[in-house]
Amino acid sequence: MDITAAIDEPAANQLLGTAMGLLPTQTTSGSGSLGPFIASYNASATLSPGMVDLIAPGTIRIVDFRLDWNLGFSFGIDLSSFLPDFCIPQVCIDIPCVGTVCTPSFCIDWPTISVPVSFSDFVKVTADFGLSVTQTAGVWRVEAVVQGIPNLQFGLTTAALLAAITAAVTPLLLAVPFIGPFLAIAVDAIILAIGIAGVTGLLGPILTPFVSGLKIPVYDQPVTFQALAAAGPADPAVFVTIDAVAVEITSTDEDELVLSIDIS
Amino acid sequence: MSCNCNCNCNGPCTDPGGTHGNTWLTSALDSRSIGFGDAFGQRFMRPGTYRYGIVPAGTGAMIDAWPFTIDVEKADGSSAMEQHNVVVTRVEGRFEPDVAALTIREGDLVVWACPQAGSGGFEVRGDKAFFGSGRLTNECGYSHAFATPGDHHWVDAFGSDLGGVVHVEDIRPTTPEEFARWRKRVATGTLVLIADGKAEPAEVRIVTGQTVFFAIVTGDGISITDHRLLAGRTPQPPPSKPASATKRPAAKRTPAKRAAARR
Repeated sequence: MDITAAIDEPAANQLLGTAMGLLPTQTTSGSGSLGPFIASYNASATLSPGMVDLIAPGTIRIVDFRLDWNLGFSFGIDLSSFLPDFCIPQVCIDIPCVGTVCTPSFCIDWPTISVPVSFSDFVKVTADFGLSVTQTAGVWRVEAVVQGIPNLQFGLTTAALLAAITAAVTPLLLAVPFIGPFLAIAVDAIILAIGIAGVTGLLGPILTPFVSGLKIPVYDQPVTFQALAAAGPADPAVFVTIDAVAVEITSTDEDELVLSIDIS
Repeated sequence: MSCNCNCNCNGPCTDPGGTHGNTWLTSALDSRSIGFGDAFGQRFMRPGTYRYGIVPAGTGAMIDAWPFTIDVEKADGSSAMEQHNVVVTRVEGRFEPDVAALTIREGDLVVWACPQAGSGGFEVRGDKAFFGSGRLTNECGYSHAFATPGDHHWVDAFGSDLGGVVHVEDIRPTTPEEFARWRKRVATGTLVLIADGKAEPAEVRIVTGQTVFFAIVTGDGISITDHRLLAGRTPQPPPSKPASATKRPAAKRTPAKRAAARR
């Protein structure tokens, strides 16, 4: 016996939108390159639905779904790599009726500072999903599985993140003794060293896995389940067994996501 | 300081530090704790042997040994003051001078400084009441390079109404010419003379990185201490106007007479 269920694109929008909204917040942590620096990070991301386009025979294209992400990272900056050596020179002072007294010279070894940055933004993604049917641990599962590795376009995010890094670095630098006159040089040099490439080089490897491994559940059903409860000794419960599940996208008058189920 | 030497004693000064700090830490404005960027100087006006120790700041009263000496020989009276520099380093937790026994002539100046950033502040403690950085008395000096901008109000941690303020301008050069001008300013020091409970000038203006030399002609065992370091211990809000600036002018006694009287 076969059962066939079909939904059109508006219904698929609703179904997949709900499913994406139910996906738990994804988290990750690790370390990555931020230009010449190594950053330790913690990141989390949630998904919001986009527009679904059903493409026969087996592709679901979701246009402009949102990946809202929150990234906290910290990296160390060895300021001596960015600032010139600096020495407070010997200072000689004439003291009336005493003579000249000279103070010691001493040189500054610029420190390594740790810069914590917290930043949130979103990126819109368009990706193609294939359809996957599996039976695992007695459960039939149909999922939309992203195909390939979507290319995340960060756009203005890079400039905003560079601004956030600048805002994080500046007060830390201000606390470094004697750095005042070198502050602008230090900030410029650090931001220049990171650059756009440094920011995308950090964000890409962190955020892409949130999307590249994405699976959106479409249908979950135990292989065997109770369809009708027992109504009496002579009327036992009715169980249904799903023997096979198939899914495809058809394109006739309209595009539809079609689920075919064999039961016994 | 007194007029015990010629007024033209501008002989060559050696670089007492001339060394490079290992870290970036600098000390607070507090003559009781001579740290990175600071120096303490003491003149010795009479012949004799002066013993001293170098101990972590604040522990001078506990000192029970005077391992280092300064032998002051009699001068002929015509020679200029000479400066002798003692480089202090911290070795296995102890402060050590590079010269344990120093011989100088009367009227000479000895300057102690530690080029090791992060080594903590030290105190020079002599076996004579006038000799020590913990409480500045006569014919001594304390220098401090100001690392951060702002108004640095200083007071005497020992309770006199001596005080002043160092205005440190936050300078941000952007061109090579501006940097050159800043470096030139940093190479010039500012002098504050302290005598009879009065600092002159009580207010000075410098830029980040500049050094102020506090020369104590006479003092009753004072300190130059950032008032913030005394918060909670000796409530002394920053004076709106330095207290010493409102005091009566010092009595008409020459520094030499004052020093002689105190000795």
